[in-house]
Amino acid sequence: MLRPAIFGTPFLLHLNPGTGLPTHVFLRPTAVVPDRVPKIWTIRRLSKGLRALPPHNYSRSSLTMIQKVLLVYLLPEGRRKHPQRQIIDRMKESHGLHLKTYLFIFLIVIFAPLGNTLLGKGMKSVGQLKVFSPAALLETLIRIATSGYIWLGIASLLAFFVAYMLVLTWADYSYVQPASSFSYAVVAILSYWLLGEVVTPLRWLGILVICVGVLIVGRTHPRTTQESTHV
Amino acid sequence: MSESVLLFLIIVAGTGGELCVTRAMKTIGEVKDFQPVALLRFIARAIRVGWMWLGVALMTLAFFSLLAMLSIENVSFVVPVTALHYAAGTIGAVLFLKERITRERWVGVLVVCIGVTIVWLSRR
Repeated sequence: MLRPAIFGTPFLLHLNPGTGLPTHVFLRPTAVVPDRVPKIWTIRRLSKGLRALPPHNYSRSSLTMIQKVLLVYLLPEGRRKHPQRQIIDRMKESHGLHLKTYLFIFLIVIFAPLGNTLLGKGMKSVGQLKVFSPAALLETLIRIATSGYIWLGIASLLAFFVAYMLVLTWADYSYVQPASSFSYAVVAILSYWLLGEVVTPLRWLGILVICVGVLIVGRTHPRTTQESTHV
Repeated sequence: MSESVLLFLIIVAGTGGELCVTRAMKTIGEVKDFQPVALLRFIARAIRVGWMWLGVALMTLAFFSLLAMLSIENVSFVVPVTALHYAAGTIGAVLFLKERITRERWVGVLVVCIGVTIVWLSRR
């Protein structure tokens, strides 16, 4: 019995009809491997197409098994040997999924800067933090805790966090993280619009350079440790 | 001067907090069951790990440092300079987690640092 292992991934599980536990993992014959995936999971002998991996003693849940497969069989690191093997991104499998991903990235890029802008507005109204005496500190903390903007900011940051976690359940980290670099530009736009801050050309330049830097960092391999597992 | 101290706290405490929480999570082990009871058990295990408390304390310190910095500086200054956590995270990963960082990532970190320097210079 073949069953997709994870939605949108190029794997199929062969389940034991008796126990329901996976016995083999196959690469789909029509494997649709996202462009960036080979950087993360250098798939062995991908060109051979359908490929059975040896059975394993799966005593744990299938989820654990999938993770094990990803860790053990799909070796990390290593530059792509064949960049021409531009296999269609799995997100292109579904137009809806593509749209959903864009929507969530949009939410991420809006909610994080909005949260910070609201925190900034809240803190401007609270005034400088006074930490000289316990009484002054307590008073400042009370003013922070009673500021509506601070709570709106925290809510917005929580919304960002939830959206970020959700999008990572179907999209690749190396896809989402660079996209979130735009939030540094959005924060400048929002602080200009909502708070009336003066953003000088020099600051814009700095923000642009930061965006580029974050884009480069995000495009690199998210797993930086050397391979420690062997088949 | 106070901005430098606050930025230092935001970056170092924030990154240190993340590293401590990561270490605590590694101690606790992988989450396999997402049932409410299992999650509660997981939280009960998590709060018994010292690293978790240290991590949460450091993250709290970083958050209040961020609030303090926002009270004296513009948002369009504070948020971009906190991008330095990419540099701190990378250095922390090399020093504490013994990760191997690619040259491309170092280039990215360097570009972020240049951008932060430019934003810092744009301070009023």
